Amino acid sequence: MRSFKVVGVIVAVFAAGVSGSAIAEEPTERAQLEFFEAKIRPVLVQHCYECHAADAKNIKGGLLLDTRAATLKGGDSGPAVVAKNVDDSLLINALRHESFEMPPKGKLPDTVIADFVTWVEMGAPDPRDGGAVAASTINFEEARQFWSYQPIAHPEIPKVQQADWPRNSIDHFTLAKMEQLGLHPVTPAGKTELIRRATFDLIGLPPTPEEVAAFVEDQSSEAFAKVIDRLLSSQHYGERWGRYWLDVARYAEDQAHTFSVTANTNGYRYRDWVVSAFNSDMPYNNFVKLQIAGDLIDVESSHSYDNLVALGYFGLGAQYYKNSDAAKAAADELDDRVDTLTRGFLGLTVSCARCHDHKFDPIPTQDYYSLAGIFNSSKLHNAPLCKPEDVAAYNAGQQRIKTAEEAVKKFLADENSTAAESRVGEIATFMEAVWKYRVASASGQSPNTAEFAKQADISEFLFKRWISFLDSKEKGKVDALDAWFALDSKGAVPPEEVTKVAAEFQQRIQSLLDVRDGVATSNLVEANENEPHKPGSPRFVTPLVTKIRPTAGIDVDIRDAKQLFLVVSEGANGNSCDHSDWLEPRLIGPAGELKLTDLKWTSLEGFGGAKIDRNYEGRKIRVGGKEYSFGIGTHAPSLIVYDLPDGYERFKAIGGLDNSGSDQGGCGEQASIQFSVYTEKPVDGPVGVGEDLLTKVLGKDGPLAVGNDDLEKFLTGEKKEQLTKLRAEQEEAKKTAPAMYPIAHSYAEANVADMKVFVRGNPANQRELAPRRFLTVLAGEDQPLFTNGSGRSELAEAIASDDNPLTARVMVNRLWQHHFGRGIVGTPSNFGKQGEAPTHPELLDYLAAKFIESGWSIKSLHREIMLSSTYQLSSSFSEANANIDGDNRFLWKMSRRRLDVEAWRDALLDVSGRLDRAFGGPSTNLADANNVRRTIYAKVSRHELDSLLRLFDFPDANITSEKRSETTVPQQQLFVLNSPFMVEQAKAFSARVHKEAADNDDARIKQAFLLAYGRPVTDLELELGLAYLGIKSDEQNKLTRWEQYAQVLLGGNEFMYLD
Amino acid sequence: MNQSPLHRTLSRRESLHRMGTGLGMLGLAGILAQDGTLAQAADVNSDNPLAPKVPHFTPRAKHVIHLFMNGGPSQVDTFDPKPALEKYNGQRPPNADLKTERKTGGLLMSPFKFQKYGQSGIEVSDIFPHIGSCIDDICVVRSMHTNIPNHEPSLLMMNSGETQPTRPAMGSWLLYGLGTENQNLPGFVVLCPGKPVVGPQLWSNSFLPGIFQGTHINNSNMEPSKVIRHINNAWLSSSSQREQLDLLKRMNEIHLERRGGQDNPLEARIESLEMAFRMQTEAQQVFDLKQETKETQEAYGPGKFADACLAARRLVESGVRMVQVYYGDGQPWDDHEDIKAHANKAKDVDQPIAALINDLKARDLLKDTLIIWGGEFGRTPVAENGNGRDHNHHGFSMWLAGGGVKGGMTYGATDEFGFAAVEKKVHVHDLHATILHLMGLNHEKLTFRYSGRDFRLTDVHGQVIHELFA
Repeated sequence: MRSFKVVGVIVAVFAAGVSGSAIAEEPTERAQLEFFEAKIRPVLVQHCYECHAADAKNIKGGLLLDTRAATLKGGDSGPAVVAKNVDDSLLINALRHESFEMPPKGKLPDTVIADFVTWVEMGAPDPRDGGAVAASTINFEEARQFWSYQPIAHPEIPKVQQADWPRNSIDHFTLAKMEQLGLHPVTPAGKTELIRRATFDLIGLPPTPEEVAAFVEDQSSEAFAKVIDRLLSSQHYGERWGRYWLDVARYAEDQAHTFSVTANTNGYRYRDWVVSAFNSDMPYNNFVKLQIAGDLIDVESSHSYDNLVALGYFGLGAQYYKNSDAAKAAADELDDRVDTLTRGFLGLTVSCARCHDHKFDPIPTQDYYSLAGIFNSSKLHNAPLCKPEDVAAYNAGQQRIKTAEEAVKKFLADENSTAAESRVGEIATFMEAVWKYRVASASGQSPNTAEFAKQADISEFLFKRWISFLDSKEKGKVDALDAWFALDSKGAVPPEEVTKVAAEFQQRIQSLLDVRDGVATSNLVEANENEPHKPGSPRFVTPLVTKIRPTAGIDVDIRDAKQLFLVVSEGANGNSCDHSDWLEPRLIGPAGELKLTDLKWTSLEGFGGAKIDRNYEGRKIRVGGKEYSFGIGTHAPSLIVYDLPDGYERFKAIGGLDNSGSDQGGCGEQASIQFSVYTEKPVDGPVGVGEDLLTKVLGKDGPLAVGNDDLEKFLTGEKKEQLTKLRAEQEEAKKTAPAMYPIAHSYAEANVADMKVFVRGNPANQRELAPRRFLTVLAGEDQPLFTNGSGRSELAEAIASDDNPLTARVMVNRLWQHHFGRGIVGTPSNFGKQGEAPTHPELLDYLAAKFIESGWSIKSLHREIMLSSTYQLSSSFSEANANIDGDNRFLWKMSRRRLDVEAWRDALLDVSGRLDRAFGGPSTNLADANNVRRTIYAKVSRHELDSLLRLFDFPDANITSEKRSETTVPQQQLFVLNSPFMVEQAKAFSARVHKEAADNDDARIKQAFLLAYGRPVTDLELELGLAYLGIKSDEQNKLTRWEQYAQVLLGGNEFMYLD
Repeated sequence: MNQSPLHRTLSRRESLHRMGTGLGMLGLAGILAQDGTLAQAADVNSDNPLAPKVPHFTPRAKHVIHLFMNGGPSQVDTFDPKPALEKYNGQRPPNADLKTERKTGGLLMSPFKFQKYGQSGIEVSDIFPHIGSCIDDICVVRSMHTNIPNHEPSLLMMNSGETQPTRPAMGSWLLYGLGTENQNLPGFVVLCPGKPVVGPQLWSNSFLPGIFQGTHINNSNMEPSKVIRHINNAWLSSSSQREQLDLLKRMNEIHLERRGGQDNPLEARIESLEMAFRMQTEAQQVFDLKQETKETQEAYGPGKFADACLAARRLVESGVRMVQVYYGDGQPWDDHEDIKAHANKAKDVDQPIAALINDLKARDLLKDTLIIWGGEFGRTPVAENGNGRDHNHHGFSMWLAGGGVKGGMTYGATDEFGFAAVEKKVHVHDLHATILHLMGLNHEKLTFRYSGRDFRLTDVHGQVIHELFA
């Protein structure tokens, strides 16, 4: 009966798609499935799949919850879910902790359980039919009718009434539109205006007075074309237009976060590659391909290093913080790649489809993961820009340096520890000498340490250390010296008593060394004959085992024991570097001697596992520099349990700190462990660890140790020569090592694999496969999959194809935007439905087609645009036009534009005569007042963008930028009025004018206007200037009147805005 | 009402708005232009995005002061007492899930005592006696939680609602949604002696226009002439600068007239230069704490944090929309080694915060000013490194005061040990939604179209917690 009911419900719910009422049913079903995706699936994935999914390591109760069918079928106890029957659904029962208690880690919140009840009540809608793709509802055929997916047309050149106005085809398109709307183009720009516009437009710098004069005088019809060609062949052209591209590429040389960021100090190579690509008019389709797949294209050619640099488009991409939730951070990085790829090259916002199908554009989530899979099959790569031999030579050089350094270090360390230990026998002598010295001091003499040392035949250097070590200020720091400090409080102390205390202390150190060396064992558990052994308390506990004392003998009576519990605990310094070994562990008794390593442990817990005859790292056991072939390697904390065979009475071993831990620099110095042996399950922790006396006396701060710097003073003869030789070898290795080779922050192939769709973008919740391929809307439903490695080369070809309707349109539009201040499409990186429609769709197609025909030549496009009458219009206002088209979308005038921060700063430096026009190279710091390089060469930071850049609307380099906002805030004007940079330029500008012009203010003002604004001064301006200069400056002012005036000229609107 | 020198002058735009009712703006500008007073009308047409805007609904608060205890203060040592820690001190109850990323030891009882304060009797740790005395104005949220137990992602989450550096800060959203009342001061000010971990991305405008970015003031040295970059002219006397600016203004006007006398950006920049000139004085005044009475200065006490709190009050009083005060450089509250070290930091903030609350109250500004206290996450009830505590994003405490929030209440709860929020959980997104609501903004409607999507501070999350409202 029950099963019948289930089947019935399932049919009713899932047959909806094929039943006659499909249309009416669909929204409900969709809402129900959305409920499943939002509320049910994530919970199942997070809390149930670990034990109840096909790929679970250990499927519990025969129950699978990862498909609809399996969920309904249920496990050993019956169906997990019975649709619309909450009472019979064991899953609900288990979640409520009624009979089963699931998940075992703890009951889920009541709201979650309520969601499951709702879900079961609505019939347990569930799309998981074993890997099938949840159908996307996008109708691609219909979607492709949208203008931007249509093939690029070759529109007819429109006819216009005002036939004498157009200079080229562009003008036909713009004028036709104007005539249609009743707009009339304003007058053409004057020549001074035009050359200033063109020069800033193409090279981001103002024209020189000479260039202006030459153009004004040139009456030929080619005059402006000549200017354009001159500017296009300038190396500064690439600096201007490359920077526009770098906005799109969200170019930066670091990452936003603070911790564990490696600066991409070679990032500038990509910047310079972009600049050069523009300068050489690299065909744009190649430009695209190299940035996506430069490592896979033309790899044998002489350009192959450049091609690796080109990949900086992705190689300099975001690297997020991955300490926690690394899966999400990795997915976010893929999102950065997909977003920058699709908005940058295609004007599509594919990232909107990361969590669900794109709400407006025909981009299913699966397409997103198809592209993400391409990047997931690739990786960031610091590519050497040199031959493999050069890399090998560099690495070999570094290895030589390391080896030589280590040899010195090892020599010093060995000498130091042997040196310290060799003096243990002198401890008592030192102490007695210190006592005498103190007595002498107390009696008012000023004793000489050199004399005392000589008398006692001890090192003065160490004697001084003993004096400090035993000073009464140190009282309480070393427990073992309590007896010594007790002497202090007595009056006169007989010398024998001092001798006795000193001898005892020396003996104590010596016996600790004996324990370490296995000569003796030391058990911190004080066996009390009267008290029976307390079960669960340790039988044996070693002293602390450290680098200075890397071993401790162990000898335990196990006569009445059934089990052996071997415990290594950390010695209060944390677990770092605690590589621990049970050396030569064996059972001894009437039955003979049995290696513990021949037995199998019954259980093992703790941090490091355990390895037979190998240390924690799986290598040969080495303790105190000595290799052991027989032992158990582990890492504190650890517990190894054995069942004891009959016939054994003692357990013997040596506890050791393995060199693999103790040799790890400061971490190794601090490593400390303790070995304890129990014969029952441990209840009491190890007894007190006690103080680490050996380290205190023999360690690097102890009174017997000699620091590496001082050690040399103690070395004589052969040893000294040996050290000198090692030092010389170290110097030689450093000198002869080749310098670091150049690298590019590039991109490379990685493990190739398709991704699965992340449900709602959650990496922990993966659904159907998303094979690597191009966007369905562009490549069709039946497109071939990408099979060539990651698929980047195929992706590059698909994007850079002449047939791609978006690539050319998007780039043509970007160019247009930077010439006119606004693109034909006002949203240059969004050609989707949410983007703006083109104002001149036919013109866009005309230009895109022309672009492709010209071999994707960007410079040809500049020429065509700039030679149009449209580009050469003045920026004059016309009320009649403004009433129809106030925003000038239809180009009846040239829109006035504010210079971006790069052009503005560069122009300030140029006009004041300070600009350094050098090309390329590592990034510079704008905060440095002496930085007079072009602004494109400033460091761009995602973490902390330079304050000047930030103030003047430079985009946030954490995300691709399609256009800059243009904001006007008082803080910008504070920079103009008060910054040292502006004052510096004002001073230099004033000085330049004084140098270049005749010796009167009239001439200077005229020259200043030519330099700053590229035009002659007007009478009114001259009059104002002379009047201003005529006023006596306040005496406390630190600028001359002329410098103040120069600052006004540089700070003016005319300097900042381009007509 | 407020006649202090800090009180903003009515902006021209505003006065024109007031007198210009019924007149088309363009027409008015035309009249003024004929009148020869064009430059004064400069910002009539400029669509100043920082001008005060009408919120979605009547706001409860107009300003926000966010006191950011960067590094992550521990809830069980501050505002969420847990007697069970004493009972189980040193132990790790077998059934309790207390796992975080790092290895931790047994439960660690708080080294501090708690006692009840105020009418409400809410328990507060002994390290905050002054804040305790204000508890009846404070609403403690004990059930905060966030996504990731690491500083950087959580600092980003608390500031921008996303763990990656790709979204605007809450202060930027507030400026975008509400503008700011005083055009002579930045609308979103971030005070920190040095910089918190992550740094400027925490007050970034991200994809919002740059005008909405936070202005960082390094209050290591609260010298009025240095706090804002280039606020002071080191070369010219004030009168010479005025002369210089007059010439610049005149030349800009000539430039504008030659271009037909109408151009929004050109006019806006002329006005902006004047604003900058005024800002020189006003911003220096607002940061000049010596203008406060001795009593006030003493109430706040000494120290950088105290200075920042007092500056925050002066800023808010002058119409600044949002002020964020970070406790210190780096992540000082990050006490992994010894939780007792919380006491020193508490000592630095306790008195100034109480003074801030009382001062705002005395000036009748507390009702309009929302104070937020908290870190980027909380800490574990279990020990790390002996006496320290590890990061914990599962549960932590924050508190709100003023700005339409109900005082003397606690909201939500963590489990027996203070490890995870279990009752009335409040995610950071919920907190953001609630803050926006208090400011008169619907967090689902405050959107910005970018890259084809309408982005929100709360992404696709966030529930307004109405129970916190007075």
